[in-house]
Amino acid sequence: MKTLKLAFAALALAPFAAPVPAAAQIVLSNPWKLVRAGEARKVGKSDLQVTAVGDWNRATERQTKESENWTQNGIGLDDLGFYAAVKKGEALFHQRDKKKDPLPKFDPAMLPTDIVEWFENSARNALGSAVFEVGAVRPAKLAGADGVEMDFSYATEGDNLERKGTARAAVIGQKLYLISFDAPKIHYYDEGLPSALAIMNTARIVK
Amino acid sequence: MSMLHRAVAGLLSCALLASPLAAQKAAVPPKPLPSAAGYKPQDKLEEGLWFEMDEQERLLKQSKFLVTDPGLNAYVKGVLCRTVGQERCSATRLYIVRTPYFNASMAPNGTTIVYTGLLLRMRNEAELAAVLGHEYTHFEQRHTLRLFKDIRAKTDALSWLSFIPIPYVGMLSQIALIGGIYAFSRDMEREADAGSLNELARAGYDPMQASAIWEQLGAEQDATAKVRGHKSQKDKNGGMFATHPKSTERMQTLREKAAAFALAEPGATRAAEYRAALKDWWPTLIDDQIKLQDFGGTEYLLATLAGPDPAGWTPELLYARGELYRSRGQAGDFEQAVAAYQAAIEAGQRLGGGAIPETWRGLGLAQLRLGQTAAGKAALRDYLAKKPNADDALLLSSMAQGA
Repeated sequence: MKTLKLAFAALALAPFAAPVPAAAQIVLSNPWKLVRAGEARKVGKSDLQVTAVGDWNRATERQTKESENWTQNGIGLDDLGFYAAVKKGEALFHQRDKKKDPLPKFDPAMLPTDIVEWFENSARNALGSAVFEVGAVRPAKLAGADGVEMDFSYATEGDNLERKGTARAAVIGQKLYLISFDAPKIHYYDEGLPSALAIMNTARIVK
Repeated sequence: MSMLHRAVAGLLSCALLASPLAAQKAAVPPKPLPSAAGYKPQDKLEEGLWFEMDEQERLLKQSKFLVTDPGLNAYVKGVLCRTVGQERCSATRLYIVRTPYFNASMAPNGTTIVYTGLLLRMRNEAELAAVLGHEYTHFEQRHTLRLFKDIRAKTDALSWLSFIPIPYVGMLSQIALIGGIYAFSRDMEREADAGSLNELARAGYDPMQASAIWEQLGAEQDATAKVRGHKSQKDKNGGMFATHPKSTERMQTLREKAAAFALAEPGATRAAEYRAALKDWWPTLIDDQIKLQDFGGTEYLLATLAGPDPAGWTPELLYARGELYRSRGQAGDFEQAVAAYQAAIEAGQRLGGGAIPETWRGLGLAQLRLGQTAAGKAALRDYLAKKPNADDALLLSSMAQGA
């Protein structure tokens, strides 16, 4: 989620968001790596493997150890987030202030509905937004395991764009795996969703 | 105020707001007052501030956070106008924003912002009137302008202009920083306290309602900090809960001054009117609060809303208590949640109005977490019978299958 990053690392993201002058690009290391269509890779060196459907740009900066963010048009226009192997007691997103602003912790005992609520609570607090609604929720498979798929919509104060998203999650071997796609409601969500779902379908656990 | 913290993080300039202002002496405001009809900015600085605020207001009108419900807007604006009078009220434009924190602000150009978190925390109309009267005094006495003059005097000329547009933080946080409840100095707070009592008494509200609010706010921040194990944020900004004079002294002063108003007839609290106006929004507001995952603060808030009488625990408040415990999910929490949901259903039957359908959803999910599979599934089926088109109906029915 692009705006999650904005919320907790506002200024750090600025180099991605703002056009960089040509001269400056020479000295900056490239924060993006290409993921070619058909390439299978382990998310953040975890045991979650996904295969790219279409070409994507992978951010080399990571929110948490076993997570990755991919985009096709730029992180503000579409964001495919992979969150692998979240263990008991861990938060879904990076916590800016663990003490004063803690994010809810994962518990393998969570029911499918609890995962949905936990995702929503994590996102609301990381984004600093109460304008976040979970819509339809349905049973789904992720990496062969029974899980849940949910649609959601939200806005943040930062850019006032209406965004839509779809996330799929499952608990596998006491650990949480979640893949979330979100993009502005105008054009980008509908455009990016099919390949995002296709990538979710390729997810598997490899040892 | 996590939004405030979020905005403050990484913003060196915000330190300017906090510390030096505490020492500021209140100046006698020149005439005319900003509340007067046709008031125009009196100098270049005020003109600049208005220019910025007009731009922020333009953005605010397009905000996805704006609560546009005409009924709720008319009610809150009506309370403001009743409190300060129709004429002075016309200098303001009211906006309600969906943000689950205690805050309200009035910008120098009359832009008035009320957070939904404020509406959730008020127990009656008189309390809301007290906060609005308090903020109105800050506005009429040009306290925000004085803050900016102070900042400008202590830093490079016009540097405040560059700190207004904070990238990525958003205009609501900016306004909250600039003119919100936590921004002002102690002298300004005293002035606003006194002003709000005058407004309340003149409007026929019970002035005694004013002191309870600020006490409640401080105690809630203590409760949040206690559970999270950090220092309470209530003394952070020097103004609202400054240690000298102690906030308890401030509450005492408010109570004494309120008692000194010899009203011809007892002031109104208009609690029933307040509840009726908030009725449709209440489930959303409490949901936003619970999702903050602020267990200590929310538990304190629910107890405050219920009041000392056990009968104050309505089916809605009991449901909220169940959600709070179920959402935390630590050892013993699901037992507490089940008890609260069951009490909500019982209270709903006793009072005749019933409990909201989500009570059965929460009950079933908490029972499932406790391993009470049959009871949990039965409760989920009860919920689905009451709300067959719920967003998560498919998932719940898959969980409710079997005995």
